[in-house]
Amino acid sequence: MKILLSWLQEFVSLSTSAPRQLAEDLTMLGFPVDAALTQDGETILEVDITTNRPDCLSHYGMARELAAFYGVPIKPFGEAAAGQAASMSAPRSKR
Amino acid sequence: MDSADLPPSDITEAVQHTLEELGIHDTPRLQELFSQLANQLQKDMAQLAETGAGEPEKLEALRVRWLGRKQGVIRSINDNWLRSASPELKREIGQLLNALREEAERQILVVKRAEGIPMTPAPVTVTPAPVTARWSIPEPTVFVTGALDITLPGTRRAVGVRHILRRVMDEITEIFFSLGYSVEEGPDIESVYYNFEALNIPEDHPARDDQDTFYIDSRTVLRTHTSSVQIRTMEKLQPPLRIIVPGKAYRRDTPDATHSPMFHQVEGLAVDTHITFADLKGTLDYFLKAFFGPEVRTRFRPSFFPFTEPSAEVDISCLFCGARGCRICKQSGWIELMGCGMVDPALYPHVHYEASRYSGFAFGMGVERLAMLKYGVQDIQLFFQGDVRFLRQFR
Repeated sequence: MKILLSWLQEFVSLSTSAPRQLAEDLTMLGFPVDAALTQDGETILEVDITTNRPDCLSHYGMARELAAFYGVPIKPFGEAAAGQAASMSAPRSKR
Repeated sequence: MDSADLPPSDITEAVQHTLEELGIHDTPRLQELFSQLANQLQKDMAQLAETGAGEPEKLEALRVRWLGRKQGVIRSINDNWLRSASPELKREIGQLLNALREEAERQILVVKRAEGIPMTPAPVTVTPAPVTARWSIPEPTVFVTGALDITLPGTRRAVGVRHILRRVMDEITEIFFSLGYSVEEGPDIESVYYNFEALNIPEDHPARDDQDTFYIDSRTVLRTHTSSVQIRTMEKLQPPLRIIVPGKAYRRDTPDATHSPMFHQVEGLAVDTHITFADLKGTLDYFLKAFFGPEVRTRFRPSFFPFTEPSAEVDISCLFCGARGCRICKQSGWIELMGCGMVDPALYPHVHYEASRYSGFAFGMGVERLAMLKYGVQDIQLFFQGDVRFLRQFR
């Protein structure tokens, strides 16, 4: 699955935003990162998600995993969902 | 009967009798007899030169008379004189006979060369006398032909080598033998039950997709992993259990440098009371150090397989860059090598083990992958093309 780093950061404030470190941490969490690339100024991580973790087949799911790993708070789901709904109607560049 | 009284033309008659019958018991008389034979040979050759020059049949007749395999003079001396002679005379006769035969062969060869008659292509072998006395030395085989250059070196028969994959599998099993494991095997054509169902892979699991599996019919597949042998073995044997399963597995992959529809795996399974993940780590760390060398480091990463819980992938530190990061390890310093985990307790009811009493670990590795890393092979297809130039590098 492709993960946008900026999208993750809407839900959780990551202690590191270095793609390399993030890829390494995700790999050791059981989510091997096949590639980390940059496109249009966005960092995209290509993450393998094993079939026992369908809860992580979403940006919020990955954010939850990383929040637990780094010990940082995550935006409550209701708030996050509301934020998403708002940004959906706004032009993409605002996100 | 006295040989000295025989007319010279009758000397070839004399070889039909034994020395006993001819009354010859000492060396001088024997030498006289051979010199008469030599004279007769000269006479025959002279006669041939006068009357039969240029006629291959006459030369052939002469050859048969002297060197013929059945009734030739040389053969007759061998049969009639040499065999029954006393040990003291035997050596003498042998030497004189050899000299006479060489002379006859030489003379005939000279005529043949002179007349341009083709040489006998096959080497002519004169059967040596049977060895009866301890001191007698077997006569050497004599080759007489101009077409054969006996100084040429012989053709060495090509000797094959064990296939590299077989060798790597043997290396792997050898290491596990030293840890007390034994080898189990199972069929390549496997029922869906052993390949999927009993391994906790439900009907709707993506691994069952026809995209990945060769189905023979709806209940039969070519096994997609050697893990099916785990179930077969546990049905058969009670714990404690330590087995490895080398074998072939099949998946519907398009062949490329790292994929082949047929490949090899070595599967491992240990079930006993009190087996922990620490045992698994220790076992695989020992194995990988034994296989790749003591400087290799291992890393276990969480993963998922339906038949193990928890599951892990095993990485080794990159062999090529010493974990500094290179093209082969994709800059990570680690190379993904195999899968493993603790046997999922959901498997035990299938084989009637007490899930509360036993625990175990399992692991599986791709033989081609190990071989490629260890021997620096770049393309998996090379293993299956049967190119001797490739295969013979691994002796």
